[in-house]
Amino acid sequence: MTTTPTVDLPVETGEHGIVPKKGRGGRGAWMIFRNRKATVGLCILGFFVVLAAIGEYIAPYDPNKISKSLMEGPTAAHWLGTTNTGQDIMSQLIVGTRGVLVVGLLAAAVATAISVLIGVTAGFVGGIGDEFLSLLANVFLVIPALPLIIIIASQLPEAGGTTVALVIAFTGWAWGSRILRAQTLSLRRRDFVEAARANGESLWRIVCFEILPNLTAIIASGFIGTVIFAVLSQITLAFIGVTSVSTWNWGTILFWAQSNQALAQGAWWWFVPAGLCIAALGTALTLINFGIDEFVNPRLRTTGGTAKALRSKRIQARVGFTPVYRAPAEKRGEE
Amino acid sequence: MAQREGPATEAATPPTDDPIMLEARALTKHFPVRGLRGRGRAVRAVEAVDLTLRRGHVVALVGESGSGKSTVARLLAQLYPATAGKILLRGEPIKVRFGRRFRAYCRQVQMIFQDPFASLNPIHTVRYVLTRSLRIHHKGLSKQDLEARLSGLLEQVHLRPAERYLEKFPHELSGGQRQRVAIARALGARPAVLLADEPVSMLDVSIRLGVLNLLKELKEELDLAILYITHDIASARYFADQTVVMYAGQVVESGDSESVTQNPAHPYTQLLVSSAPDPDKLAGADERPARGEPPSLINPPSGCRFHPRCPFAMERCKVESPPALPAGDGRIAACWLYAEDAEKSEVAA
Amino acid sequence: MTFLLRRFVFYIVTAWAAITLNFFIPRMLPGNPVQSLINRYQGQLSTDATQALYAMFGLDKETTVWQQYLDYWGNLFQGDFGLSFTFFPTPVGEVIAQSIPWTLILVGVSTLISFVLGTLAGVYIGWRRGRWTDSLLPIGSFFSAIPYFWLGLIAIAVFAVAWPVFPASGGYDGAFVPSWDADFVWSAVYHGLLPAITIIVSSIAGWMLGMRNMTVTVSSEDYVTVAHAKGLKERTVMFGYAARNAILPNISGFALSLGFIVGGTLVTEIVFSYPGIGYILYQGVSSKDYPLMQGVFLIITMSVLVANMFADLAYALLDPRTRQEG
Repeated sequence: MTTTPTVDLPVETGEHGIVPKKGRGGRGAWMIFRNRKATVGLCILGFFVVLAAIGEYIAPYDPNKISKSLMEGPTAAHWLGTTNTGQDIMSQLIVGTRGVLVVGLLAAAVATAISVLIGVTAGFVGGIGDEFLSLLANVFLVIPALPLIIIIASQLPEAGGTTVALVIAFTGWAWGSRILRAQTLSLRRRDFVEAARANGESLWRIVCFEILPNLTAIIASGFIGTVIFAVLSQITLAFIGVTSVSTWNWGTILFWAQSNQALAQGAWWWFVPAGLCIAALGTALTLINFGIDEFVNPRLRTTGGTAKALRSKRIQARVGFTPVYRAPAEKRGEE
Repeated sequence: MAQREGPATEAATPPTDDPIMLEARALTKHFPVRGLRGRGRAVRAVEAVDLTLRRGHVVALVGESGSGKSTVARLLAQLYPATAGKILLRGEPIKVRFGRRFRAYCRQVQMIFQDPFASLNPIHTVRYVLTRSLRIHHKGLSKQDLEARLSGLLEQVHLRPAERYLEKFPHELSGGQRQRVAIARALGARPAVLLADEPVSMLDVSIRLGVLNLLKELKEELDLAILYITHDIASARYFADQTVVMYAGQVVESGDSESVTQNPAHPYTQLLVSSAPDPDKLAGADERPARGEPPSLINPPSGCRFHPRCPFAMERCKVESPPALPAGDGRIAACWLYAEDAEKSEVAA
Repeated sequence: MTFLLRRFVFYIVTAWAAITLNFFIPRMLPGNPVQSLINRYQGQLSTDATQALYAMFGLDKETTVWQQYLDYWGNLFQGDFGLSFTFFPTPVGEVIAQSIPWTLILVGVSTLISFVLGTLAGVYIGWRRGRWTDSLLPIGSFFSAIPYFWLGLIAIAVFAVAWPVFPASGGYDGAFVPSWDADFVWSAVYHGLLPAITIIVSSIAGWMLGMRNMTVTVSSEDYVTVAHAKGLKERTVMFGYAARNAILPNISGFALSLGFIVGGTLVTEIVFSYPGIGYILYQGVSSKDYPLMQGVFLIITMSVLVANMFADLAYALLDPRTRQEG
């Protein structure tokens, strides 16, 4: 006999309530794999995570090691070419993955924690407290984040990975908190919260076991969104030289490429791979978020496949879920 | 007719025998209107309501939507703080909001909600819901005890065999089964008072009777005091010993169910009874048709709140609010029509 | 009009918060802010600049933090942001004033174009599902995941280095003196094209995806089906019913994402060495020109707030509910 039921069950927040689907295949977090977009995204993300973990051991060269092959394009010895001092770019890329992911995930974790704390509190307490916390979140949303990050980071005595992550988290929590507040507000008035209270549940148990599990999907999607924001911000900071340029991440590679005139010399191998890695990671995260979005809002599921099938039968799936049948004759007459 | 004999005979027994479990005295709730323009204004949802719940008795609270009957239930469950008035549990005035004292109160007074689709969290199994209820109110239960209690609770609400329901999620159950789970959750606390807020109105007509009979059975078995809130005056007659009718936040009539429903005293109750479909009187429209709508509770009508809709409205009704007046057979009606009787009896005395 | 009034109060509060944040950030960091800055320069700072720094922080005389705060506000109202180190002794205000028109035109115009095009494309894709246009979704998400500046680098590599049709950097041809004559304006437009296209290409996907999702959600509403059943023209239903309702969240999204987008476009300016505010910020960062950075931050924040107010006005015009509320 199982003792406690798990709380991480699949949650589907539709308009009419939250209905976990069961009996149609998997259950729990694995449901996400039923979504093709999310699966592709998770695979790409997994690749980068592995790279971040074992990067140092599989990199062919020491990323800082100067060699005699200067400014070479891709060769058998250096798959992605070398810099103007003969450093191997592929090794820099592989070793730099860890910095990117660690800062991105750390920043997103801290930002998500702040947004859950502020968003759920605001939604749950209501009244003056809500007004104040919402105002705080909106102020942080409207103030342009990147310039704020730049002026904070450039004044810190040393801007290492952790510091940068914390600064990014400090400026990037507001979006998630706004969405969580709105959702908590609607959950708080639901009967099951009232019923739990009438049954004698304590306040923190209601928040942690009745409300929070219903927010899982939204928290996850906010987390992923913040990872994207954090990765982009951190790479931008490295690129313009605000943060330390001695530790490797993809932004540092671009920083050195830019400051050594890689563009003018046509050394495309110096800046193209790093950008592609950023784009691949970003796309992967976006795809995961699409998966979560479609999971939460079933209307968004691309009806591409169905629409194609319908069209082959001359039915047009144009408006919502109302397929419109057009007879060929009628169509001709219309035009 | 044989079916109806049960409640009728019960109602005939004087209610004073059984101890009062929960009592409301002049209970009032005003909700402040939010926004800049609403400053200082309030929705007068419940106004000076008196209620008495006795052990082993069912009191029905009848009224249309917006009459404040659900608010009364939430006030009695102490989910909202009352604006004015008192709540007495076993004769002791109690006002609790949070913490241990709130839990102690919950152990005595439990509530069942209207919509069983909304009142059970979709992410929790039946086992979780019932386990929490037991764990909150009975600390230090051993594992075996817990298992025994769990199946006991489910059996009590006729969900047999218990094992089949324990691991189910709410969406895997029918409406009636969900409401039974909600009742089992309330029973987990071993309460003395059960507040049932329209427990059957969201269910299919065919299974309403089953749930009502279950509540009746539980009342007999556990000697519960039940507040049965409904907009269906016919079910009040079937199920309740006493019936209290509310209109626009105020009690307009109260008395034993049989006479309130068969011989309504207050014009509003007459309206309610005549609008309920009755198989005995299928033909013939009412001679005094219903008109108008319930009033705004922000600016309630002056005097009697029912006067704009009342076919018998007099000048006095527009000015003065009627007090609770005796209307014969131990019944009370808040209507000036009974003022003369009252004065006469005063003169006689 | 309560809606607009509330929003206005909100912007005042936000402006106050940004300005106060700007004041406190250097003071909250450990140690004497001026000393730590001087240390970071490692002796490269002239005595004049050091003096200016002390004056800016109000540390040249013995004052309380409160007095410093008041002085700071007083200076702000006189448009005095202190002296720039990079362009010493030019006041920061002047440096910013020279660069702000460039940014306003480049970022403003391209963001607006991107919003309009992206929204229209989003309506179309959301409305006609299951066509080739659906393949724009993954492409779009790929582009929205690319940092703006990297796309700028690629654009320069392709269109200015490998195939030189556009200039690689600058805001106008160095042979001209900024004025309003036709040659100069043409030169400025020509220099602005590549950065503008970069900004549009990298930001359009976001609007497109957001609008597509809203259109899909809205188009399954009953009122859209009813409008269709009434026999209204496809175009009328699409724009008058679906898009009209779907655009509201996109406009509030526009307002809220502006701060984020502006950050990205500033870096685009850096890549193109475009003489706008982003490039000034970059110069400030690379020479650790602290007053300049602060001034730029304030100006950017204020511009975003003003843009937000316009978005709110548009929202109020489009959504009848905000008008009735008051």
